[in-house]
Amino acid sequence: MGTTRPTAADRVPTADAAGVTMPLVGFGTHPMRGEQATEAVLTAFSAGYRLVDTATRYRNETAVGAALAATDVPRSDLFVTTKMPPDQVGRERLTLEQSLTALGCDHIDLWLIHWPPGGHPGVTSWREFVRARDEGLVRAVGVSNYSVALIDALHRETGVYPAVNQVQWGPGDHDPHFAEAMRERGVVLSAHSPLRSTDLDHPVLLDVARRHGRSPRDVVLAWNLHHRVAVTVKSAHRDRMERNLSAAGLTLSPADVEAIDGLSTVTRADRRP
Amino acid sequence: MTTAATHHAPAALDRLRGQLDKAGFGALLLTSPTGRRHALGPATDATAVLVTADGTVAGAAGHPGAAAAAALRAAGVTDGAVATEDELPCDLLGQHGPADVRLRPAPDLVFAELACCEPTEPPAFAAAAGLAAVGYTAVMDHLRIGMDVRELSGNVDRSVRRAGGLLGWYDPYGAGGAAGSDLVTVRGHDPSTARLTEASPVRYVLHPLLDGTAGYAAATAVLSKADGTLRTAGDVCAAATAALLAALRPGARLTDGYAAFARAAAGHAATCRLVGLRGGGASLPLRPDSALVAEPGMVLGVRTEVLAPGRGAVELAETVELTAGGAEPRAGTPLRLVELY
Ligand SMILES: NC(=O)c1ccc[n+]([C@@H]2O[C@H](COP(=O)([O-])OP(=O)(O)OC[C@H]3O[C@@H](n4cnc5c(N)ncnc54)[C@H](OP(=O)(O)O)[C@@H]3O)[C@@H](O)[C@H]2O)c1
Repeated sequence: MGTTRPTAADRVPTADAAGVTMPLVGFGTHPMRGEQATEAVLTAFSAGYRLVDTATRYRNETAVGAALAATDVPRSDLFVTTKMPPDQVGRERLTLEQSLTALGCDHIDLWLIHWPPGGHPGVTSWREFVRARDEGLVRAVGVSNYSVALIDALHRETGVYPAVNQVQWGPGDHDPHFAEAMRERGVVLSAHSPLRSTDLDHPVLLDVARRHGRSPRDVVLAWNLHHRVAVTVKSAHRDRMERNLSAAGLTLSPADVEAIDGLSTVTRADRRP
Repeated sequence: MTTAATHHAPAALDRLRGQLDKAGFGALLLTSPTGRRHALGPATDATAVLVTADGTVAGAAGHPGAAAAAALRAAGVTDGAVATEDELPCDLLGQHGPADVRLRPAPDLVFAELACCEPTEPPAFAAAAGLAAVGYTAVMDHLRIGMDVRELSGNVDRSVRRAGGLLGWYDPYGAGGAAGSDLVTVRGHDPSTARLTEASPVRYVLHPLLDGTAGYAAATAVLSKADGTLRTAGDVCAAATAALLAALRPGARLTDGYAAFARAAAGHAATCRLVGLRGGGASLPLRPDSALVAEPGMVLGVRTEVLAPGRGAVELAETVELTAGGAEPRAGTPLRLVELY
C-alpha cells in the first residue's frame, strides 16, 4: 500500500467557518497589483498556500483571477476571500458580480464587509451578503474590522453571525476578551497584518525565537495558530512565503504563549467594545 | 526691489515655444503661481516669468507689475506681441514696460501648456491619482459619526506616506502663499466640535504630491441614508459629472464639458471647473469662453459641486486623462454621493 507524504498545504490547520473549511494560514495580496500579484499568488499556491485574500479595494482581483486561471491546483482545493468596501452600500450585488468576473470564479469562498460602513453595522449590506450566500454565490460571509457590538447588531437584525471577523491582530493587539467573544459567537477570528503590526525586535519574541531556532516572525504566526486565530500574511518572496507557511509546524510551549500574550498593549479603555 | 534672472528654457518648455511660434507670439508672460512654478520650478520666488519663443526664460521677483516689466527687459523683449495670462497688472506695465510690446491675453495658450502632456507624463499623473485614491480609502473606510476630523487627516498622512507620497500639500487653487502639512481638506463637520455628524455630508479633497506631480480627487459621503434633498443633490452631481466626462471627447471643445454639465444640472446651484494639472498644482481653470479642443494626451483635473439647500453640498473631483476613447478617470474614486449606513 503506497503512502503519500503530507504537503505543506496538508500541514496547515483549518477552522470551521460556519460550515466551510477554512485554512488558518492565508496568503495576503495587498498592495501587490498586476503581474506582480499574479506571479506572487501562483508562487504562493506552489509553496502550499490554499487561501488567497484579496479585496475590491486592492484593485488586484483581475490579477488574482489570472493566477486562479493559471494554477494547476484545482479550484475546489482553493479558498478565495474577497471584501466589499464600505462605499458600496446599496450596490452589494453589483460589487459581488464585479468581483466574480474579475476573479473568474462562479463563487467566492468568503466574502467580507471590509470596514463597518460609516461605523455602522451595515445591516442593509449584511442582508444582501446572506442572500448571496443562500443563492450559492458565496460559501461563507463575514466582516472585517468589526467590534463585538457591531457583530451583535448584525445578529440582532438578521439572526446571522458572520463566519469570520478579520482584524489587525498580533501580540500587541492580543485581547483575550475579544477573542473569547468571537469564539462564543462562533466567529473565526482572523488576523491581518500579523507581522507588520508587531514589534519584531521585542526581547520576549527574540528570546522565544532563539530557543526554538526560528525567527520572531515564525513565532508570531505560530502564536496566532496556537490561539486558533487565522493568519493572512503577505510576502512577495518565495523563500519568505515558505518560511511563513512553515510556522504551522512550530509548537510553542504554554510558557512561550503566556509570555507573548503578555505583550498586549490593549488596555481596558481601548478594548474593541 | 525687483530682481531678474535669465536662463535658457528647459526642454520641458519646447512644446510651449512651438505653440508660441504657431500663434505668432514672441513670448509668454506668466504671472499665476502655477504658471510661474511650471516654468521655473516649485522653489521660484519670481512673481513674473517670461518664456520667449527663441528659448530664453527670464524670471523677476518683487511687485508683480514691476517684475513683469523687469522680466521683459531681462529677456530683451522690446517689441512684438507677448501672450499673457488674464490677471496681468497692465497699468503698472504701462509705466515700466518697453513701449512697443503688445500684451495680449492668451489664456487658452497657457491652459493648453498646463494640460497637454508629453507622452512620458500621463503615467506620473496616474500614479499621483492612485495616491489620491489611497487617501480616499484612508478617509472613507474610517468615517464614523462623532469622529474628530484631525484623526482623519492623520489617517491620510500615514497611508499616503506608506504608499510613497510626499508629506506636504500643494495649493489646489493656486492662490499662492498657502502651505501646510495637510494632505486633505475636509468640510461638512460640525465647526464647533470638529466632529462628523450624521446629517451633514463630509466633503474631502485630496492633494498629495508624488515626485512633484499632483494627484487630484475629492469625494462626498454621508454617514446615514441620504434624505430627499441630499439624495437629489447627489444624483444630480453624479449625472452632471458623468455628462461632463462623456463630453470630453477628442475633437470636441473642452467647454462642451461645461455645457453638458450645465444641462444635466439645470435648475440646481451647481459649479464645475476643469483645470490644467501640470506645474505641480491645480490652479488654472478653463475659461467658459475657451475655444480649446480636447486632444489625446491632455490631463485635466475635474471638479464639480452641487448645493443641497440647507445640507451643504456634494463635491466630486477626479484626475482624467484624455485618450482616443475619451476621458479616463485615473483616481477611480466614486463619482457619486457615498451613503454609509
Ligand atoms: N481586512 C483589512 O482591513 C486588511 C488590512 C490590511 C491587510 N489585510 C490583508 O492581510 C494581508 C497581510 O497584511 P499586511 O500585508 O498588512 O502585513 P503582514 O503580512 O503582516 O506583513 C507584510 C510585510 O512583511 C514582510 N514579510 C512577510 N514575511 C516576511 C518574512 N518571512 N521575512 C521578512 N519580511 C517578511 C513583507 O515584505 P515582502 O513582501 O517584501 O516579503 C511585507 O512588507 C494583506 O496582504 C491583506 O491581504 C487586510
